[in-house]
Amino acid sequence: MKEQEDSALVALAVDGDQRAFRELVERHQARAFRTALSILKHEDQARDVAQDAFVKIYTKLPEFRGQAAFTTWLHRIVSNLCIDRIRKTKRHGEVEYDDARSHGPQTAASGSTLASVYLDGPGRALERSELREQMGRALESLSDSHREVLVMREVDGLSYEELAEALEVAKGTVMSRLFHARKKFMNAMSGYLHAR
Amino acid sequence: MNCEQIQEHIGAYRDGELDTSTRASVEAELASCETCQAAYRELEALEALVERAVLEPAASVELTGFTDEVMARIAVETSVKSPAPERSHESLFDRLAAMLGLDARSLVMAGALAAAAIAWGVWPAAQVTSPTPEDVVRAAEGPSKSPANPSDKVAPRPRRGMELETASAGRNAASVQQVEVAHGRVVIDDNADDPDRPVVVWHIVGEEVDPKADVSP
Repeated sequence: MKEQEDSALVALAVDGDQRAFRELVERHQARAFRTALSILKHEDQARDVAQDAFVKIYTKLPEFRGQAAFTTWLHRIVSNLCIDRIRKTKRHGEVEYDDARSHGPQTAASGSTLASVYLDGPGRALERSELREQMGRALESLSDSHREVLVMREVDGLSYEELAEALEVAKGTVMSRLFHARKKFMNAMSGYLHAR
Repeated sequence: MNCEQIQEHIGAYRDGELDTSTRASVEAELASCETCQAAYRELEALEALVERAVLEPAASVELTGFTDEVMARIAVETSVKSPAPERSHESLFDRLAAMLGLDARSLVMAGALAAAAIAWGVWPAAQVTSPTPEDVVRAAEGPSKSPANPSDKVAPRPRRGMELETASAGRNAASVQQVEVAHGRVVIDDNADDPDRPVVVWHIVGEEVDPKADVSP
């Protein structure tokens, strides 16, 4: 099983085997990059943060006790570094905060659903980076557990069983978390999408 | 299940994660309930957002050099904590060590010169000459300038975390150590134990190098 291989590589890397750590980087760099790209606006930022994550993981290898899957650990570190970066740029005023976000619940029964706005309306003309910026803010507004399950499902494509194993929860919990995470995320995006 | 309960299962239905009987219940509700149909379309929109914003661009990006850059940064991080041992032969290391007395910017520029000289294959073995201001400017300006030897690779402009990897022609017997300065680090690894591997230079700067800056010590 691949997961056992990851844990074996981690054990070797803890003992100082840099080739084992290199293999971990090779194996998971695309995943780390995608996760970062789901939260950050620019691809070069995502690459930087993904690299930051692996460097951080290397320094913290001795602390990894294997309670969670390596992929879960990696995802959490990438995600937290991305959120830190967003908050840092907000503090420095480099990004203007868009107050068009909806703060109220967006019911699926409303006349103009998000799907119709985005798929059929002017949403198709959105710049990707601008869209990612808004997605990053929407993700930032979620709790850690909601953000984690949403990105691991939507970006990494993990099955519910894989998510349950990675997060060490029951499949029913995965389903419930995903439901709430998706709802909150789309609520956070609704103001932006409707404004386009 | 009522409509609200069905909506909570629509995501799992779309993800193909429901058992047979629950799936049948959701399908039946979807066939007749506009609210549930709208909720299903919301999930389609979410998937489209992720596909457009993340998955499509991520698939088109090549992470060339990603692993080497990570390992180079780790080498610096670990070397800072445990300084490298002294080497027996001199040349570049002694020169760089002597330059420690300079300010951070000058040493960073000196590191850029070393990186460029190695990349351009013009660094003479075991010989170190003082960089001229023109040399440093050329190093800082990067690929817009022609290398001294047209057959050598042009060194790209140094930026955070980037590696400059030379062709084998650039290798020499210079022995160097890690040099740490206030705003940046230069790591030059001669890879003496692996002659097939080109010299790797990793250079980060805390600020942009000003090619017009006065570099005289």
